[in-house]
Amino acid sequence: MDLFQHALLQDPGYARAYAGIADVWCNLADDWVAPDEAYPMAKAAAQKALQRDPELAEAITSLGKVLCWHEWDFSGAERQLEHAVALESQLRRGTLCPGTALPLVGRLPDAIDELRKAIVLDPLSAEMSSWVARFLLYSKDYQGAITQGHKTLELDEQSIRSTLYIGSANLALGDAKTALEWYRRGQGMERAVRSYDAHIARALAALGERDEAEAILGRLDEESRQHYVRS
Amino acid sequence: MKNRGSIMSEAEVLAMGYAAVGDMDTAFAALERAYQARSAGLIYLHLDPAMNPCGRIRGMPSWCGGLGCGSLRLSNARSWRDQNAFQGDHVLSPLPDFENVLQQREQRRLSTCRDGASKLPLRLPIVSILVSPAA
Repeated sequence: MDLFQHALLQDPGYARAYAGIADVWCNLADDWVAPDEAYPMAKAAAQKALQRDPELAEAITSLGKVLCWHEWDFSGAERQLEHAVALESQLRRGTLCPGTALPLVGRLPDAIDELRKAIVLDPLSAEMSSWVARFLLYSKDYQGAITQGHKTLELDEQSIRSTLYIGSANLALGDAKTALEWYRRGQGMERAVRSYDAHIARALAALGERDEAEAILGRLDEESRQHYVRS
Repeated sequence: MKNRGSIMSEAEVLAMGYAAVGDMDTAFAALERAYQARSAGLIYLHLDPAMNPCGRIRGMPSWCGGLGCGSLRLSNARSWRDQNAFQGDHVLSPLPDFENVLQQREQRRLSTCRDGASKLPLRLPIVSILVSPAA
């Protein structure tokens, strides 16, 4: 964020810097900054970028993410993300993530295909790999989700979401003990997201450790009231 | 426990935990907070197996989806739950014809929603909260 803002000090009309700021806000939202704070900032920055360059794919992508993840206009998001892809070469498809909106318009298999194409084009993208693991989990391909989760961890050993998806796949397969190990592994990482402790509670509940599960949930519930909801 | 980076608590994730221990009142309250905060995690809720941890009890509250129907309506979900005494320890009780009853209710609800779709402001997929006690 600082670097993009520094770029704007040098050139206030630099559209890509605004697009970069929009992307940063999208990445901060939900896990690190409350959505009603982060997404409007992302949208404002994306719109400033598009005022200066109406066909800047990165800004259109951020706008699509805001529509998808915050405004819940899934058809609009799909249009924006596809538009961004159309503007860019196939080589940049992997960075534009149109696949993330597709499950929301009833196209989960297409989303997985789309994201797999993105991985072919950008095989080192842990983010895309993580999305594939997530959607395989959602499609009930639990072994596939576990395999993809491991691949993601090879790309980024600090991929918390991969540990989450591997854990959830194991839990869905009835192996709560393994699930608990994966959830705890993820929550031991430096970038852990506190609310994901609730998944530890899920595994504990499945193992019959209800008191410990409820203690975790009680603590999280208190934190959630203090730090999240602003409405 | 060591002090970790994020202080954010995504309420829909808490709901998954509360559903797993069978505390439905708190789970719905957490979902309501997530909805009020427009938490992005809600949009994939209908796909997440965390909302169907064991697949033994399937609740289909009256959340009416955007694919022709409209908005996420947690108040309706609560109403459905209350009407069906679907709370607290009742979750743990086996209901042999539960799925048939739910399917019939869902069909009636969907036909009602179609009539009122244009009045609803938000668009979300049909969301199914699938709740189960711990295995």
